[in-house]
Amino acid sequence: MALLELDKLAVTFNTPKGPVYAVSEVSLEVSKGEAVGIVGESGSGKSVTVKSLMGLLPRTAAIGGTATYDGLDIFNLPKDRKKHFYGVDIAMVFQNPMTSLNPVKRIGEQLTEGMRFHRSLSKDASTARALELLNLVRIPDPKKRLRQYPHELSGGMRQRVVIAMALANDPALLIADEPTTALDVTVQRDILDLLDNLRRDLDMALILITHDLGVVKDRTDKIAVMYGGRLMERAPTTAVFVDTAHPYTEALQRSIPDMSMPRGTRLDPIPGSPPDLAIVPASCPFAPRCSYATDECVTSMPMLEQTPASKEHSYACFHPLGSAARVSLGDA
Amino acid sequence: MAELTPDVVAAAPEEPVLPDPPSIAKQLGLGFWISVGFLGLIVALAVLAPVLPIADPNETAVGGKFESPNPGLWFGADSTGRDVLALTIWGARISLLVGFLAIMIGFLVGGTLGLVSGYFRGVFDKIVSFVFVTLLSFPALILAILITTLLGRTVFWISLSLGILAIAPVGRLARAQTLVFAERDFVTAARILGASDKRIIMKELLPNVVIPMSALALLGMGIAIVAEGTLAFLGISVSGGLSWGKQIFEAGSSARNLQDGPHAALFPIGVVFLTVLSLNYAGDRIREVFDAKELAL
Repeated sequence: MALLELDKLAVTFNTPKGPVYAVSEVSLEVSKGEAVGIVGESGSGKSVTVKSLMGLLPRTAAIGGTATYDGLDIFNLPKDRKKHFYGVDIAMVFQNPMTSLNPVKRIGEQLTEGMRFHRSLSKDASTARALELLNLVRIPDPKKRLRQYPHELSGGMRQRVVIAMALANDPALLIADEPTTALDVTVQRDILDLLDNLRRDLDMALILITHDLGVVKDRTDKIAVMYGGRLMERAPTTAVFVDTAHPYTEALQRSIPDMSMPRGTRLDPIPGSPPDLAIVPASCPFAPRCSYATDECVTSMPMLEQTPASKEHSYACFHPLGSAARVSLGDA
Repeated sequence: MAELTPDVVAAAPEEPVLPDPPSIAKQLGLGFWISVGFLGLIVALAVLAPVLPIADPNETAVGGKFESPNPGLWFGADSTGRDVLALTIWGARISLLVGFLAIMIGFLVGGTLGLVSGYFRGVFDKIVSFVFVTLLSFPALILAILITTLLGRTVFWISLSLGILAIAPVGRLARAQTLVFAERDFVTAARILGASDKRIIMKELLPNVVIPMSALALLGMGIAIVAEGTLAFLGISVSGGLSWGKQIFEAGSSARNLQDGPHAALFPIGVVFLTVLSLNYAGDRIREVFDAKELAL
């Protein structure tokens, strides 16, 4: 059994202008120790998906489908379990380290708070653990950091502290929501590598949310590509790049600059803009921007199908590429 | 699992060793400490008034009528020969107490309302904001006169009437600050970790909100002291007691008195001026020093 199982997860926001279908029919499994990337552009529903898991959605949101963690229904956790669930079983790293630390509290205090609440550790024990955590996230001079305030640390350091805070109670699953978007490019790589190493070292599952396929390419076991609140493609990481099935995934890849391209090569942007999620989805959300789209794509909704190459590789498209294409042509 | 080897792990680059930033005490500056020193002195004198070797402030003919300041009578004497210095020290008791109580009421009520409404938002927030705006639009002096004449001219009621006036400004500041911080991820993180609303407000938000609030509180205390003086000038300050406002009012009640013994009014005016200046300056410095930290974020 997978550690985390999402089955047809749906999130709908009830707004004064009518419902907004932010996430629809997202099914995903995350096994113990596995790294899963959720990739999509703004408004693709990737953040809403994890927010629903963390119980962070506003009251106007209606959740459909199920999400289980280790067999437990996340949306209906027993009260005593809930108290020590978030931050212990599942922890989260936020996008912006500038706002995820309290500016008037020392690093040490912020690091130890969670442990003392969840594990009733003594002050000395939690301080020792805080030092250990700062070492773990490779912060130089950790003893000094404990007494410092967030403004005395650089952005990258702060994100390391935020990661250390998330790791405080040994979570089995860490969710990182665009953990490097707010950081300098040079620091981004360090933080991503750190997360990758920590995952291996601590045997912890990781969900890495990003809009950049390049970020998840070498750091995940599995990738879920989202668009318009739906899964477009879900596959082992290599398959996503080697045997791309969905035109959207292909388009995303083509919009990443490649160092080996000859000078002057133009990037291939995806034309148009993301779909309006207030409209009841009845067709492929990507159809208006897709160069392969036919009438069928506009009139009906493609369901997730497996590729012939792998059971693990699914896509939602009438006109798939790669190995899936050969089979559908053969069928015709 | 791959073994974690140090060389594949990206360590954060070593930061250059910077000299320690100047301590907070140093950053606040000499002016701040002089202000605080002066305020401390005034408070100490006010508290110790009964045991200080000064004349009874109500005793007349301690000096001659409008006796000028001299080594024996530092602040001189007023129209009935009372010791102006003793009057000023005794007057500080009520003036400071009223100023302090008023701002405490504003701080506690306004701060609590601002924090809670800014954090929970919704209908409660709308109601509180409406009350704040109503309070702000109400003519301050009229409200103070209304309360003191209706309920009595005791220290408590005067403080309360001035305190009510302080609720809206303090509350609005607290609410605005809360709005800024409540949306930040550290609050979300605390919520994820299972912190209750009460804990988030007290432990995460309050420490952030209290700094600008204390700066405003010092400024507000100055305003309250002057406001008490205004009430005294209108003849509706604490009945029976002495206060700076009352003292100034009595010494300056006629052009004749001011002409014959200007020192009887000018000394308490000077002390009020220096007290309010000190409060303002200290408040400003606190805001400047701690705001700079906020900017660095």
